[in-house]
Amino acid sequence: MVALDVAATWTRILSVTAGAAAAIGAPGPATRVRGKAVLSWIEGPWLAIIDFQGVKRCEREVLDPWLSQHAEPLLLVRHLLLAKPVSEEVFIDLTSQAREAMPEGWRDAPRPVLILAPAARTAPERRREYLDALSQLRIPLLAGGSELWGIREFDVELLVALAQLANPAERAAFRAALDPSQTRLFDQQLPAAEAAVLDDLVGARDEEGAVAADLDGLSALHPEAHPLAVYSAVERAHNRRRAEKERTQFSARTVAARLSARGFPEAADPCTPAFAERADALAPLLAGDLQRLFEANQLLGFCDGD
Amino acid sequence: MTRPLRLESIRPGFPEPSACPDGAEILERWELLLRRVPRLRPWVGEMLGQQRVLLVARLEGQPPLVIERTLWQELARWLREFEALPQFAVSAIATTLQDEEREARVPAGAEEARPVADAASHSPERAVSEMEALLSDAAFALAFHCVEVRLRPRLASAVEAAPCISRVPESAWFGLLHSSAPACPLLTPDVAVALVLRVLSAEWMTLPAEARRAALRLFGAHPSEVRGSAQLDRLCRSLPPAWSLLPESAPDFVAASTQARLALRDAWRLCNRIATSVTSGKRGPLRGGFALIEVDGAAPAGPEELEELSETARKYVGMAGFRRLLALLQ
Repeated sequence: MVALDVAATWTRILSVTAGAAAAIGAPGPATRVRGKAVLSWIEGPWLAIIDFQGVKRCEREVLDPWLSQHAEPLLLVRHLLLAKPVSEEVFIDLTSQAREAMPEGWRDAPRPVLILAPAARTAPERRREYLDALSQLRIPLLAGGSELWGIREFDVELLVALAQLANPAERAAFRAALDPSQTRLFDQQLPAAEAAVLDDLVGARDEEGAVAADLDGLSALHPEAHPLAVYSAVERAHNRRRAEKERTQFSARTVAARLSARGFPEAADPCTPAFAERADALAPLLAGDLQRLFEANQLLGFCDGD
Repeated sequence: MTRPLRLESIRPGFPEPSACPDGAEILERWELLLRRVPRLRPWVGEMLGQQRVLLVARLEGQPPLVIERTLWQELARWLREFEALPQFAVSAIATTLQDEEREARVPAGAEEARPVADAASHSPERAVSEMEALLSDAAFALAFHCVEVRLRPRLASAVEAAPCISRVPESAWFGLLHSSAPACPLLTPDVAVALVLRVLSAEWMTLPAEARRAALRLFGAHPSEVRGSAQLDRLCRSLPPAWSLLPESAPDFVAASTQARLALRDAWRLCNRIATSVTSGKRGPLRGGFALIEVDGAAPAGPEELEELSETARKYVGMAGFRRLLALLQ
């Protein structure tokens, strides 16, 4: 077991139920793009790989049984089939529950892959290891569509706390340590926090912002393109505009995007009238937004008014 | 008694007053509670209805007064339980009860309407309850202080300087700032400030998605983009009509947006500095949000900044988080 800081954990629970994100990154199956869940682009559950690199042994001891006995079914209904958590090496092997639950033929076609990584526990180079491992696997599940992969970073300490509080004795001890005026609220907030965290893992609570607006905009121009691919292009176009310190580690990108990766600053073509006409027909865009969307469109692999 | 009872507002579905000698007092206490937590009102009515049906079936053959008396007992018991809870807890329960009810009633194929429905459920009352819970923690009280002393005044003067944008409510500015802040899955001073903004901008979420998106586009615009742009007129027409924002006012809106973003950065920096003062000066283990918060190695806050914090604490003397925060700084 892990020694929980009662006040800190309680504050974190309250902040997450009040709307703070417990996981962020590339779209998950439940992220809404143009009003519908991303899941609807490719029928069937996504493959989820939880990365335990950087997670302490005592934390894993709490997380492993909770995941298999409690959280995995809850993630299954959120359209994630879990692979066994990876640690030092990225080796992909479905859990027994996932093998049992996977729809017939699921492994025979490409599926989106979601990597769930502990925030602030892994090095940026880890992303290359994910990509190398995924690229080297020659199985239908990871072919073609395997280029559609994304990373969501989650608050591992909160996940450990929730896993530990799923144990009745631990929960009772934690509850007893709270201010008595808060115990009833705790009874109500704990399941809400668990649901919020699981929802965050699949993107169900993703909020709007400039990236989400561009994701919607570009997706409207290319309704058939998978939102993970669209997101990778949008994220890249946004990163071009950020100062070096503010650039994000890419949460999603296709293999093609990686192959075409160039160093900063990247040169960008000016928006063409044909693209402007198409984009403006969908929503009013000011010059800066239009140019950014145009660049994302190019990164997605389309040119001009395609 | 100095105030007349307004029992008619809660009377429908309530048991017969003659069945309980303390009925008037119980009703008055319920009225007080429901005035603070109006979302509980439909739940009480529904629960009474359900209980009545159950009691009629269970106490078949008993005089009607027995059923009425039992209902009074139930009402008194619920009241005792609710009164024993802090207000934010009662509000949170009321919100959950209403959410459960709505979930059960969502018709098939109503997925598209969900974001709007979710936004509508974010009532001012819920915002208050979330604020209460959050601000009892020192780290979030600090975030509130930073919004109060760095963001609010600068935003107010930016708006004051441009009367044409005066109809854009403060909650919209806070919502825009929250939506444009970088997301982070851990608790940092920036996240704490952003969460306070989120809770203070409940009204923003009730706006239609298209209007929010148009506002976000304009909020993020560069001043050079809003001069003579052909798209500006369309963008302004997509904004909430209550804002009365015309294309010619857009440069003022963009200028105020820049001020708001700068003010948010100031608020983040102040939050970092005071958080550093708390975390670096503390010898024992930190409690609550400060045990989690990740500061970015900023210099500690200056004496005038700590004095400013004391002033806010005096202004919001009822906020438990400020008492804890000041204790941590001693």
